[in-house]
Amino acid sequence: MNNRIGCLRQERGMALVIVMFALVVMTIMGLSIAYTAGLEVRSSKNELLANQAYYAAEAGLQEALNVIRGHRCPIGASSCDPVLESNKISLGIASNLSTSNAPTDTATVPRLSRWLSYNAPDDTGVVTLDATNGLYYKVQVETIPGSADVELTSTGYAPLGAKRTLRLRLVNNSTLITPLPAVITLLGTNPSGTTGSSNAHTTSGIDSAATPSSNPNWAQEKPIIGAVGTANVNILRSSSNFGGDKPGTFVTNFPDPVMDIATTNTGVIPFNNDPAQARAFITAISGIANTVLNPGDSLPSGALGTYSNPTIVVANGDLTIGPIRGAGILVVTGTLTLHGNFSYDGLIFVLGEGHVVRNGGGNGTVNGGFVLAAFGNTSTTMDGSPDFHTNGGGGSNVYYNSASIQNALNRIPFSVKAFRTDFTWQ
Amino acid sequence: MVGIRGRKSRKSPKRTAAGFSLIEFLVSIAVLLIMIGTALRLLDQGQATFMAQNAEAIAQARARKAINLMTAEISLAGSTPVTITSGAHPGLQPISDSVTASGTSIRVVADRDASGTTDGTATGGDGDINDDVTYSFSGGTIYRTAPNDPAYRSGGIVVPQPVIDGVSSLTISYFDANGNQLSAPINLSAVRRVRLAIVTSVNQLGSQRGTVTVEANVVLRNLQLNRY
Repeated sequence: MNNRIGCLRQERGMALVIVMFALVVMTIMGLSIAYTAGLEVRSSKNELLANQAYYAAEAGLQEALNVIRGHRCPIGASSCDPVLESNKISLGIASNLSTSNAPTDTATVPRLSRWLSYNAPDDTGVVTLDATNGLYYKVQVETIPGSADVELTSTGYAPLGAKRTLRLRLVNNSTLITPLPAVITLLGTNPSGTTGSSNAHTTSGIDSAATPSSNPNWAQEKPIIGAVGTANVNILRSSSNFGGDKPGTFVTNFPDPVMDIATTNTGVIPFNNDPAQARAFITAISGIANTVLNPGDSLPSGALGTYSNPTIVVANGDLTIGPIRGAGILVVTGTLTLHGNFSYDGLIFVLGEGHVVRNGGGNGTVNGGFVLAAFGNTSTTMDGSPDFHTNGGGGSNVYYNSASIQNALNRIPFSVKAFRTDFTWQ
Repeated sequence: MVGIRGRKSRKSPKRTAAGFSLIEFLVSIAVLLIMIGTALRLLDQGQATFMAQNAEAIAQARARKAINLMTAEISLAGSTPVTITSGAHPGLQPISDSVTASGTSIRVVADRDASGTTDGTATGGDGDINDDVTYSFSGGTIYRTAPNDPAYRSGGIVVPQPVIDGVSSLTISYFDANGNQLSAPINLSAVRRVRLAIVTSVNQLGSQRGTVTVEANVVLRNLQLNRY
């Protein structure tokens, strides 16, 4: 008995060894499973966070677009009326440090802090998207030197340093339109025109805006009639043209109602007097127009817009407008015929034929300006003859008004040119 | 044995326990063998499960790596922040003179650094090295080719670099603006969305196979900018 026990006692160590061996093997297996699973969890988690950061950046991008489109009220604004000067927003305002950011913001980049609530008044500030899940974003609106483009950058942040940056290249279409050199600009050879035989109307180059445009190139007195070159100016000054109009109907501080815009320096000669640029302008503005009319189409009701909701209308071919009121930008490639009592706030371009006919009297008022350019489909110079013709005249006034023009320009939509991302994982 | 016998004989010199100890030894060996056998079988099963899981995890990780990279790069197709003065125009571009895009290959051009060129080999930012990228599939491997990147060149010849291997299939489908699938030859200018499906398959210990299918829909945002 003793011996047997003694014998078993001799083998007692073996069980320990086996158990230890099994334990070690199982522990290693268990640990490696846990490790692999842990890796998997971490990799999934990282991927999740990266995706969250991407969508936080996307949220910032969309919110910034909303702000720039004028769908958000400035923080602390007492009224959301988009007509209020303080509520206005455009790509130009959004990309300018002093107008994009709140007065108390010390950030060195335009980041829309007048509309977006940053958690710090300097460059470190971010906008909270979801505090519970640690999601934040910040945006930046920067002009691209040497172009009309603006880059909208949005960076999204998620926990554990996850970060994604999205970029949108936007085109500032309001730069399509350069400051007018005159209230009525006629580009072409042998121009003609009259504001009518009536003396009940007024044509004024003095800015009639109650609150002038903040852009000094718009907010200044313009000559009433502008043409390029002495020969054209002399034709327009003759008695068969504007020179024969009732002198009292012109309100101007310039020496003559008709001035050579190549020398008066009150704006830029539209399209640089180049038909190719005018054609490019028609193409570009058609791309962002609210309404594009083909020859024979009639103007849909309400298409001409209102002061608080100006529109862009492009008419390919002739257009006849009755006694209605509109606002925005109107581009006509044929003859524009206006009947009495037509009123408009903004800019009217008549390009191609360059003919405007104002029929009948009425009491309509255009607050803004006209640009007429006459050129052929393949012309390389302004070789047509623009004509601004008024029959009678009645009370058809034209007042230069920088606020009406700025109001129209502010609502020119930007277009998106390119979407990009920064590759932080590379 | 000598030592044991010696010790045993020292403890009970009168009895020789050799017979018992042999039986005991055999029995204990048998018991041990059964125990070890059972343990090994359990271990083996555990190991197999573990390896299968491991294979699946690896397959998943590979598919994920490829799909993330491809999704990110393909989604930028057509990015044209500035006018292009040199190189292929951003967008989907033909792989070769005869193939526009196929179910296993796609070429994406994007001016990622807004440089106005898509064929530079090293200019500012990330340069153009990733502006022109082709993904292709052959022999169980997904390859990426970036001809602008010097790392992809060897002796003046562009050499595709593997992204992942262990791929059973790569299927790229193309859809137009109305969501209709395009058939070969793919009209590249009509493509607005691309669907990627990658099946990866990884073997561990010969027989433990993990197969994973990962799919992604990539909207080509730059080709439908009016949606913003």
